Amino acid sequence: MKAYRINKFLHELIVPANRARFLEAPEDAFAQAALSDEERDLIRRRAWREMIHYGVSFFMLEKLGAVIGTSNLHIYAAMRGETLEEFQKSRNAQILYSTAPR
Amino acid sequence: MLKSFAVSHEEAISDHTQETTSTWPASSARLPPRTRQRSALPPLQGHPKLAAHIGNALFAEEFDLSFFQDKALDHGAFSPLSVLWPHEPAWPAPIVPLQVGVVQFPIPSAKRCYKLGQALRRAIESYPEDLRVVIIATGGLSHQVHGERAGFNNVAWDERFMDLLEKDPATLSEMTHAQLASAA
Repeated sequence: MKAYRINKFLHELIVPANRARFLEAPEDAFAQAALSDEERDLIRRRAWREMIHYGVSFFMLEKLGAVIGTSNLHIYAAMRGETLEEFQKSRNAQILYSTAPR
Repeated sequence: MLKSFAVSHEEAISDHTQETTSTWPASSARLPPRTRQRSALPPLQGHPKLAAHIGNALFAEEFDLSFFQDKALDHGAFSPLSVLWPHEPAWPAPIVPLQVGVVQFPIPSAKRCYKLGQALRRAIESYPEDLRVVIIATGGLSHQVHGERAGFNNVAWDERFMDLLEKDPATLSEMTHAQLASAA
């Protein structure tokens, strides 16, 4: 259950006030959630693949992506170690989407 | 927290994509607003009486379900239903959502899910009213959003899976999570 805290932190980005605080003062938000140094580093670096290995649910990654303006497709490509363009060549349809509200 | 299997007793089921009201963050550099097509689907009707019957019947068959209300459903229900059914201005029939928790291990085995399906049939058939009921299972076939194999598709396996689902579900029910994850 070592990944519970970081998963909870990312899940709470569904609350608008939490999104605003994360964007304005991420270090304060990390501290308030008592994230470990490793967890803060993973989020700062947008280390998508490493977060998966750490135990972060993909559904939390897409919440983070939505808040920082990174599409799901960018995240998929990054997890594979590819550029978006390389990844999209393997798809039947070239689309972008995220869970961000419009 | 929901257990492995959960049934909704809700009367009116909304599309959760309509519940978010905030705007795309100003800092978003790469993705323009409106990239995602928002649905504006009417709410679905639930069927609390059938849901309660299914809950009782499955409990009697040793499936210790949980139950939920006040929970919107996502694309897992609304996307397939929107292409299967006309839905303007309203959906033609109520639904009973039955959710299987497979996101976070430990998750139920294929065999357990198969047995649930068999018990579900008995539950529906024992309902006192003569309803016409159709079961729609939604979910991914080969589908991978995690890690280095994100975007993995295996069309040959998908077709075989659909074939087995129809003609030989018992074979599928013998597969382990590892076998299913490798193939799909």
